[in-house]
Amino acid sequence: MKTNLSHEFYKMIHQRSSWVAVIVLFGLMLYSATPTAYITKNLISQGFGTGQWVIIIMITLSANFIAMELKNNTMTTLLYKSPNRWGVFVAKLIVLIVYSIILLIAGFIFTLIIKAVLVNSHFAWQSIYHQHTLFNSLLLNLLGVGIYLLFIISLSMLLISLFKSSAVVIVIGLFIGFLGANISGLIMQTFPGIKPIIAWNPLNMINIITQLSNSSVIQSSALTNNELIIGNLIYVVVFLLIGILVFRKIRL
Amino acid sequence: MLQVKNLNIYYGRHRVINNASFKIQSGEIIGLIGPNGAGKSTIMKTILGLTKFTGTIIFNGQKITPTKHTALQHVGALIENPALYPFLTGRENLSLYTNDQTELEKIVSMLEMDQYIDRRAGDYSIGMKQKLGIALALLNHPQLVILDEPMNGLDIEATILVRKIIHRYATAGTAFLISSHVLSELQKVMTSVIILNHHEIIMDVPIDQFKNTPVSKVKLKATDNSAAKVILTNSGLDVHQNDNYLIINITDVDQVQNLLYQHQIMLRELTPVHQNFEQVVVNVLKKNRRDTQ
Repeated sequence: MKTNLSHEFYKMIHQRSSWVAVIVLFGLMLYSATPTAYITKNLISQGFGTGQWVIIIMITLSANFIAMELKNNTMTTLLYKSPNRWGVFVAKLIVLIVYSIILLIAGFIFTLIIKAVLVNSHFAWQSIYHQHTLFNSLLLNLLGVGIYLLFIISLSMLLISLFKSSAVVIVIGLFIGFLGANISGLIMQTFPGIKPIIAWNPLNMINIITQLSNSSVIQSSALTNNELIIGNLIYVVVFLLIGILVFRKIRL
Repeated sequence: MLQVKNLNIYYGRHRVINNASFKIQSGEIIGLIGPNGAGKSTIMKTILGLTKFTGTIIFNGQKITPTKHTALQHVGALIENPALYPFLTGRENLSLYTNDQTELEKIVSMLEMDQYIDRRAGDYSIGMKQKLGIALALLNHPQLVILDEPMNGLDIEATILVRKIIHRYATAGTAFLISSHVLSELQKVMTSVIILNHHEIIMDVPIDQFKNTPVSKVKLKATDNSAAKVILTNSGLDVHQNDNYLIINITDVDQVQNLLYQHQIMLRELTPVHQNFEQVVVNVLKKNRRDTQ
C-alpha cells in the first residue's frame, strides 16, 4: 500500500492537469466574482463558487486518474506489480481525496484574496449571515463541500471502473452536481407521504454543501445536518465497496 | 522456475485457453507462437495474475493467482503496447518502478536510450517507446521476463541490439517467454517453442528439433534446366521449377542422376532443401487444423 501510495502521489504531482486545475479554479472563481456589483454575502460564503468548481474539477480528475491508466496500457503493469487490486483502487482514492483537500484550501485562500482585492470594505468577515459570521459560513460551506467531495470522488471512481469512459463519468457527475438537488426536491414534492425515506436518496446528498451554514435548506433536504453527514458517509462506503468489487473484475 | 499446469481460462462461457501445461527453466528462451486470437497474450496476462483461471501457476515454488502476486516481484513484462505514462520522462517512467538506480542507468545505456531518456515519453517514436517498454521489463533483476511482440516498431539495429540483450540476460540465468509474429527473428533467440492453435498447446519442443527436420526435397541445377525438366517429367517424376533450380523428391535422386547422365545433361548443383522455420510452423498449424476437422 505504501508503494502504491507513493506511485500515485508521484503521478499526481507530475501530471500537468494537477497544476493547471489550481489555475483553472482561480480563473473560475474570478469569473464568479465578476461583475463586482453582483457580489453578495451568499457568493462570498460560498467562496466565489469554490464548492461547485472544485466538485466539477474533481469529477474530471477522478475519471481521468483511472481512465489514463487504461488508455496508456499502464494498468497492466500497475496491477501485476501490486500485491492486490483493491490496494491500487484505495491508493488512487486517497491521493484524489488529499488533492481535493489541497484544492479546497487553495479555494479558501483565493476567496480571501479575491474578497480583499475586489470588495474588502463592503462585507466584513465578522458580519452575520445565516446565523453565523460570514467567515464561519465560508468555513462551514467548505466543510460541507469537503464531505460531498468524498461522495463524488468515490462515485466517480465507481463509475469509471464500470464504464471505463471518462466522458460518461463526467456527464453523469455533472448531471448529479447540477440537477441532482432539483430532481430530488421534485420527487419529494411528488410523493410527500414517503418524503422521509426519499430524502435519503443520493441526489439529495449535495445539499450538504450549503445546509451546514444555512439551516433553512433543511426544508428542501428534509434531513438534519447530522443525517446529511451520515448519509454522505454511508454512500461513500457503499460506492467504495462496489467500486472495489467492479475494479477487481476489470478485464485488461 | 515457472510451472503452468492444466491451465484453463474462460471469458464468460467462452474457453480461451484449454488445459495448457508447460514449464520454463532458468536461462531458457521460450517462443510462444500461434495465429491471432490463439490466446498468446491471454496466457501471458494470466501468468502475471491478471486473469481468472483454473489450474496452477507456480513460480519459484510460489503460487500465482489473481489475488497472489508476491512471486511476481521477480517477473518483468511488456504486454501488447509499452506501458508508459506520456507525461513522465523516460527516466521518470523507469524510476517509478526501480529498486536499483545503478541498474536503471545500466539498462538505459545498454539499450542506447541516453540521448532521449530525459524527454517526455509522450514525444517518443514507436521504436523509442518499445525500447522503454523493454527497459521496464528488465528492471529489478527479473528471473523471468515476458515479452509480447518485443520487436514491434524496432529498426534493424535496435532489433539486433535487443536480441543480443536477450541472449546476455538468458546466459546470466534469466528466463524469457516471448511471443512474436516475426518468426525468423524469434528463431534466432529462442531455445524452445510452444505452438498454440485453437486455444490449445499443440507443440512444446526444443528449437533444435526444428533444425533437424527431415529433408524431403532436393534442388538441382543442370547444364540445361529446361531440357532436364522435360526428360524428368516424361519419365513420370515429380519435378517443379523454382527460379534457376529444379525441385525433386529426395527419393528420386539416383534415378534423376541416371536419367540426366543418359541424356548427356550434367549436374552443376545438388542441394537438400531444408524447410525454414516459418514453413514448419505453417505445416504444423495446417496439420492441426486437418486433425481437428
